[in-house]
Amino acid sequence: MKKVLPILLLCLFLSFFLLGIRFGDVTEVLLNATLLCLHCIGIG
Amino acid sequence: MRRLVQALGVILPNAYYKAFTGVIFYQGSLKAFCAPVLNCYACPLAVSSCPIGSLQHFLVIRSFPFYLVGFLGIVGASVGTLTCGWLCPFGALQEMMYKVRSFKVKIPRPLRYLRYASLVLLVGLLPLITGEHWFSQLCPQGGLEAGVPLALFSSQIRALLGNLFILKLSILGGFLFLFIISKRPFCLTFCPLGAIFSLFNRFSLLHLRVRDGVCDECELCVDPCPAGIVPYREVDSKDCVRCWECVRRCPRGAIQPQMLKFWNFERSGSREPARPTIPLESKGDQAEGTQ
Repeated sequence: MKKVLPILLLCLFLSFFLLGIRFGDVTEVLLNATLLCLHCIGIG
Repeated sequence: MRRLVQALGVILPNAYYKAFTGVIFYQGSLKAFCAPVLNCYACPLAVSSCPIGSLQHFLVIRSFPFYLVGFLGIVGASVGTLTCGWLCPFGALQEMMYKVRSFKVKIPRPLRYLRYASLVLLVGLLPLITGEHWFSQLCPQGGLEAGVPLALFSSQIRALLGNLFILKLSILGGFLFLFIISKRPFCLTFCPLGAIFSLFNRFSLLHLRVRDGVCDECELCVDPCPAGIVPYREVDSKDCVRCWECVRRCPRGAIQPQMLKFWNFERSGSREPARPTIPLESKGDQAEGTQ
């Protein structure tokens, strides 16, 4: 089981990752990151 | 070797050197990708996104972060906390500052669960409920990489700073002091990214193993461990940052990285054999013989 579990987990997360790309999450991450995060700087 | 990789971990996600020429902020397509380390994307030099900042953003807009869960899961299930020990710029800073001579304290074990509270509350629940980036507002790495440089070099930003910036600076100052007196205090008590990766340490493809009968518990690996654990007893512990200092320091090669239980990275070169253990009976015999 301990040998199979990491591979199963990898497959599960790979499918999440691909779904994220399919749903346009990459664009959302890019849009969020290209706006200057004021919280990170300490403006709020 | 690890110091070199840590230096790359500082340089590569912060490679926007045009920031020095007055173009204040990178807005290119590389920011669609997250670095698997805590590196602030509001840093003027940053070319990649912060996974924790992005995660909070998805929760604020109430969208399930498939891409980020997938990305963090792939990294975690592959290597566990290896990126904490080898790549994270904030981890490298903590290790460097710990070398400053001062009194040293050990972080109590129960406090190490605080990072899970930080993950659940500051990154998960509070952004989801209130629509605010709670962890980003408190993150000392953001203060160090983004807040301080932008406050110093941009008069527009400086004009906007208020109480939150003072709070952020206080948290940063507190942690900088803690970096000097204890081993990786931010990683062990506050870092939500480390908390996520640590959950995979027992199940990841890459892990460490203690070779049967080789370790003689000489404890040479205990002092150099930046996570303050006993490596030969807690080899795949969630507190381990997988720096592999124990692997490097062990004179017998008793602790070895291993991929999926059947692919070992045995180090070449001669090894001292393990000290022969004396059975209890013969110890008694020896004691009698000396009297």
